[in-house]
Amino acid sequence: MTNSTFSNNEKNSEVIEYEFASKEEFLEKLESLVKEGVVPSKLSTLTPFHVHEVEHILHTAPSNLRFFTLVGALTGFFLSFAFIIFTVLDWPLITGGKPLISIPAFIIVAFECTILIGGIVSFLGFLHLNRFPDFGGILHPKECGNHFIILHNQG
Amino acid sequence: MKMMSKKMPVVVQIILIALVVFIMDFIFTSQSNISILVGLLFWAGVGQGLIAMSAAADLAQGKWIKSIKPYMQEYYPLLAMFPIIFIIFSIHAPAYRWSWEPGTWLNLPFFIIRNTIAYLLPFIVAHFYVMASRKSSNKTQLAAVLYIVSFVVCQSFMAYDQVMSFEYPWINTLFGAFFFIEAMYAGIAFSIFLTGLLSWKDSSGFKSSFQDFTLMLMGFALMWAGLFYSQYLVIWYGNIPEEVSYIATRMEDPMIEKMGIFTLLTLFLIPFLLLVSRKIKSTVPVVFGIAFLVLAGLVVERLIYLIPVGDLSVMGVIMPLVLMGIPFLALLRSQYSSTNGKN
Amino acid sequence: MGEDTRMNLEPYFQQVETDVLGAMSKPRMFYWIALAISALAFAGGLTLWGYQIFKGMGVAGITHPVGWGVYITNLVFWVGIAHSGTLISAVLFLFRAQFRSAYNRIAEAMTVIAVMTAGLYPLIHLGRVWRAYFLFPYPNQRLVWANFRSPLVWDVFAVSTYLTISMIFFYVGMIPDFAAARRHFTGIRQKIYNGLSLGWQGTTDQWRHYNRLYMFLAAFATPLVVSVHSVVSWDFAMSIVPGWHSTIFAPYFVAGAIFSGIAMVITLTIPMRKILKLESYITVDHYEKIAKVLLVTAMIVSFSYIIELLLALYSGNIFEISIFKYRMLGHYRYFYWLMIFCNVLLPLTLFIKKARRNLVYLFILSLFVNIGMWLERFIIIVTSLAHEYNPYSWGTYTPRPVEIGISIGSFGMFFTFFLIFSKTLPVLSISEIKEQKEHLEQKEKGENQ
Repeated sequence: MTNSTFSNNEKNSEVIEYEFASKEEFLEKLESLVKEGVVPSKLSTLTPFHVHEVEHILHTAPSNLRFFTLVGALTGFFLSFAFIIFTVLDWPLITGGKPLISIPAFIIVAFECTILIGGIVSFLGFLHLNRFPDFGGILHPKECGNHFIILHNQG
Repeated sequence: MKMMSKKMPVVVQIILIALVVFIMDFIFTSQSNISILVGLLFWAGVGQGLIAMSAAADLAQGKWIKSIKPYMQEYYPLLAMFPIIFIIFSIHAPAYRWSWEPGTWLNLPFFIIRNTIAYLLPFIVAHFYVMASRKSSNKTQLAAVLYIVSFVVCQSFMAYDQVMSFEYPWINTLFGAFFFIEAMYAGIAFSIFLTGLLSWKDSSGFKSSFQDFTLMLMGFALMWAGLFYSQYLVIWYGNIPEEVSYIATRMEDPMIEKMGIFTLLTLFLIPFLLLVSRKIKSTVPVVFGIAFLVLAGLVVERLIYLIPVGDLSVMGVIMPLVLMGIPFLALLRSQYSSTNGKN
Repeated sequence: MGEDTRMNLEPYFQQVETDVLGAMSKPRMFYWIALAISALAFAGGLTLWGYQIFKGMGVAGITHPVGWGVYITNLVFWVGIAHSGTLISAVLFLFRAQFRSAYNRIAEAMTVIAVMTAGLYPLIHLGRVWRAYFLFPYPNQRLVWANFRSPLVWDVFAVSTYLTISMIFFYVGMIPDFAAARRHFTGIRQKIYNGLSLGWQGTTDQWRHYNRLYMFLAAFATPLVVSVHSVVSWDFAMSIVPGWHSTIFAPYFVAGAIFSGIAMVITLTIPMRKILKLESYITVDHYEKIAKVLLVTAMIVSFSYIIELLLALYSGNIFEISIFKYRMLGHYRYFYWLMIFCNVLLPLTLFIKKARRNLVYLFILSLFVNIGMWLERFIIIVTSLAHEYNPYSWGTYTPRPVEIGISIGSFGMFFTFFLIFSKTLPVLSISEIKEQKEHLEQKEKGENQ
């Protein structure tokens, strides 16, 4: 039932494209390709939803996104704390009988900023890792519908 | 200990432990000594928390806990120990200052009766719940709900009545919720040992439960911090003498201050920061260490509650704590040795 | 070749796309009428706000001693509504709960819209709205900074963080669905969806990073939800007002927010699934599960009511006792007992399985819960201020027409945006439904063999 087609892409004729309607067949083919000795980095897939097994078969490293998240979150935390303490020292004004540097009160804004900056940086990291927005893709989208596709780069 | 778990029924164990606690108490401690309460609050938290986790999983129809649930439920007979220990503790109840001027709510006979019932309730309901759950009857859900309710009631009584009333008229409305979340936290920490040990022998069924429990441990670390902070912030910010005195008396004592830092580290920072790493999450011995620290932190926290309000002695704290722990550890051991490596 | 046991779910996938994306096309008369009414209410609210700015705060009923009235009640109410969105989406995602996919998109949209609605209220309440920038820390000629020890500044940070993260979360979840939408539409709509999809293809790497990002955002959003409503509760709990200064406030408000938010999800989705013909995706089973969450949160809220009352009595503090007596027997007693009915007694009927599965009943119940939770905020805010320490300065508060009009206007705003959402963006997570179907089939197949 393998309805594999040979695509004649004008630019890159060495890419073989296999197209499947069922996920199982797609995974079987992918597995057999890897077993045949195809280097996983030459294989790419297009799927209508996230297929966890692909990462397992291709032995892909976990996404580097976590570094963006970590750096963003830590930056947000320390930067906001530093900023708040700077503002109270810049113009010392005692309010409500609280000490100038009231750590318990500052934790809240620092916490919110951890999440704010962490979330934004993660999102930007996601865009960066995927090279989004992909203008080529936007102008000439390659549609695979609901099919599972394997792209084998021969070059 | 091994002999004990194999040969001795739980009833006999409990009676023996109660007897030893009673004799020890009689010999070593004075009437104003409230040391037993530390062990009682701690182990009641662990035991009831274990069953509460199982009931909560039953209600949420969580599949991840399925393989480990029967093992968790085996601990329910131990809940019968706590009403008995509480009755022994009630010898020391005159240590509550309000007992000198009894009121309608805070008077000794009523206090002892309602708290004994509060301890008895989760045991009785847990019995029905576990029976229903084992038969997987259609009453399981109802019994699980009732267990959770009885658990919340009992933990609330422990918090508001047994601990908070030492400092009457100081009130902290979150205290009860803090206690039952901590009990579940303790239950999770104990389940970590349970699943970890079982997964050593039979890795197939328990490995994923273990990972889920470590995730839960991390989540509860964060939740604990949130609840702790919610109490601290409101009291600190309000800065009313009658409220702040509670924190002030504890922070002025250098030893209690160090213990406070210890609880912050063991109940929040260490579990949370270490368990972020995926590698640590799957290293069983390290997770065991973290779970042990969590339990230690919970014991120390109970000491922080009680040191400023009553007499405590080292032996008086340690003996009941160890004695009440024996049936838990004995059961854990027998569960471990009765699981043969099936695969 | 002969016996093909392999699943081909492609027709189902196509069906999902046609159903969900089909719901986005050609609105019927009913929709236009609903939109017209909402937009009219919204416009009316804006006009009244303009009138209030022009005339001054005197047109509102808030004055000494009740300086916080319906506006702040609405603020807390809408922030509360905003909560279940992230709860359903993020928390249920982390817990791997399957029924999440029926609601998550709708709930996220609700979150974004409700936070925007809530965000207007501090401005409306401010009176001189052009001074709003005082709340943001920025270097200025007066050399003073925002007061970071003030709960109101915490609130600015909490709510704006919540809005930003919710919007990112909402958008990220939709990226694969935009890619599906660009196939189904033509013309200008296709161009817009194409642009919004950022060139999404569904490659291995894209899904890998996407999955990670979604998990991180969920992990961020979960404590954020809790913190935001905790901060809202601390606007009250930090001040030494009887009935406000209570340590339980943060978790109590969080539970209340989730409770009201879930009620709002039920209110919105029951008519919506009917009108958009999505009955096969949002099923009665899904409602039964969400009704259970509603029940749990109702019980937490009830626990808080009981504890607050009992501890006030226990403490013997005359001010605390007095405020609880006032709530139950004073000027606002009908509101109080209606609140108890809506939030404590009525949800208990959800213990009955039949009630959880009866959608008409759930819909009516959810309306009552919405009313009850609005009243809860009103009672907490107004009774405590009306009956503070000094009997000389006791007083009562009645909302004036302008306040009521602006409140109705905010509902108009919420429904206007929500109706626009339901016709312009995919209301269900298409890629997630496909993935779940695939898992389900796989499992069934495994069980049959």
